[in-house]
Amino acid sequence: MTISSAVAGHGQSTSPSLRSRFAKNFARFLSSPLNCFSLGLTTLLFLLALLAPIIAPYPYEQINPANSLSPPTWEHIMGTDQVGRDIFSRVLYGARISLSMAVMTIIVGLASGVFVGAVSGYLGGVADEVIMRVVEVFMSIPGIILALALVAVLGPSPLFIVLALSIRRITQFARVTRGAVLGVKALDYVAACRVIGMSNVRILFFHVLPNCIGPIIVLATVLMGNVILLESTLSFLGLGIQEPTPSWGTMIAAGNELLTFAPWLSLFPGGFLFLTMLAFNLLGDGVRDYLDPRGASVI
Amino acid sequence: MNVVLQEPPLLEVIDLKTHFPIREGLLGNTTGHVHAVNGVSFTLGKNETLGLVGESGSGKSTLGKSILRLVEPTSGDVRLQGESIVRLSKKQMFRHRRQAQMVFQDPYSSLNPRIPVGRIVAEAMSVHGLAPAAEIRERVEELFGRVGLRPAQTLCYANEFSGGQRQRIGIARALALNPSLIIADEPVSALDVSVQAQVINLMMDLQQEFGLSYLFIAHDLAVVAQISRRIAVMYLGRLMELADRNELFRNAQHPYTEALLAAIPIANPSKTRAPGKVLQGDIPSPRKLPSGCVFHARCPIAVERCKVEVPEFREIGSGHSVACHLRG
Repeated sequence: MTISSAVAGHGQSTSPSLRSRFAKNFARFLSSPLNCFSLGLTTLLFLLALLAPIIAPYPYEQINPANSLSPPTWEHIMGTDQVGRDIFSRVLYGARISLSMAVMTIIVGLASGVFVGAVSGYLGGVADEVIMRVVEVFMSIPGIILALALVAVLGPSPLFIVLALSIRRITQFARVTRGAVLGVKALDYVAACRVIGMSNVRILFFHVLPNCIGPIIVLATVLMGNVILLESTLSFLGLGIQEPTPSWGTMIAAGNELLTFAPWLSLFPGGFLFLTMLAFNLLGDGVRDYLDPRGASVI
Repeated sequence: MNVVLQEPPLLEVIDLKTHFPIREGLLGNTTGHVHAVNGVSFTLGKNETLGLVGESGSGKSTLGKSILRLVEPTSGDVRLQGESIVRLSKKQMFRHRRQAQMVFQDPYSSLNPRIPVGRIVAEAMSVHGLAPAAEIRERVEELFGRVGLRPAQTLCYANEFSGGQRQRIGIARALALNPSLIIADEPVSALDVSVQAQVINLMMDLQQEFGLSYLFIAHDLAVVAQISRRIAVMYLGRLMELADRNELFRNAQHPYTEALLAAIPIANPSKTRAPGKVLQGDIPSPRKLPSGCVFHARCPIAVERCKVEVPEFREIGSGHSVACHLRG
């Protein structure tokens, strides 16, 4: 009696809500300075993008031919372009475009990819084989070629760019999710759910998927940087966002010919692209180390 | 003369076979089968405990899972209260899920780490609509109290509990549906010896209180002997011997049972074991079953006949069955 009550008494001090568990985990995540830095930088970038209309000193499309190709001055802290548009304002609006397109791409890719991968992994058998072979067909085409071809066919509207970018993400999320589902579905508590008589839909979405979330979050964070770079590449090649809407890729391309004469044209959007990539890649590494200490194998 | 209608036993397993196909090569051709369970028959009455022992790879866990159709049996029949369940559709099976539940071996992987343990137990009740939502919480707390946990602990997550406590939660989940049969798949193998005794005592108390029947799977004869009235010995997918506990310990017939009994540690260092009783080698692969008696390769008394002819599982005394040409 005494032993059993002592054993049963253990673990009484804690009955934490989900919120306090989250707060504790978040504090642990921030205990690494690198994580603080990357999270701070990504937050700053999102804030700049969100508040662009307030922060930007000029409308992004306002031309001023009299003051074209001005180097950085106090009036135009990043200089102006060939038609006198303020580069700083355009970089801020470009962040808006790049980040929102990347977020949408990740959302589309994650939602569809997780669904496809989860169903494939959970069902197994022939369905799994067929779905994964289709996924592999898409994976065998280099991402940029696939996106270029799709945008060339469909046209460079934001919707189609997001679509073109997300197809490859769907396959990546599908593979990662499938792997995680295969691991989780072999656990005894899934068998317990089946013995109770739960439906497969309930088991998959309430019991299996919530335990696969770690690698999925990691992939989403890492892919943010990739997608932003890919979108900029499309824009650089002229198949992305079209003028006059600013995008980092088109801005870099526009400054390409004047690189020696007016380097600020490409330097500032390029610098922001670099910082964004750095922030998301570091954040992705940090999240992976935190959530999935086994290593980089998931990507 | 009145016809006495005999109530069917709670659980009848008739010549149950579970084979897994081995797929190899690019096209996944079936090149053979793993004979995990290979023709097992037994019955289990109300309020009774049948212990099932055997070494790793003997198919005892697969047998337990096949009975609950966690693994689909290849052939044979399982009857719950006289009704065959092996060919029921998923929907029809749902009704029968309430009657038979399972307690798992690994207390760490058998509880969802992201859901408070109280909700794990509550979900079982709500899926079957056993009680209105308002009552479920009360019943879960009551159940927690019954298995030796505190009602407040229903809000905790699985990682806040020790192995023994987790196993208590697993038992509470199994009890949530108020079943008559619980298949316990090595429920104490992963626990410390002191905690093993607590969990076994708890299971015995619960059996009294709720009138449960157990199929208690273990690889440790000493543990099984504590809780079971009857014991079945399994080897390579087949039952070798089935007898009352006392009969089995006093009068084991099968050489494999003898070897298992001889392997129970003696709590006296000055006593030594009779030589020659301890088995050599490993259990053969169930991919390629030995001909004849599956035990002949390791059997100390095997003769030519054992290599050719499969021994019948036959009754040699009241409730004592054995599968051996030479004994009984």
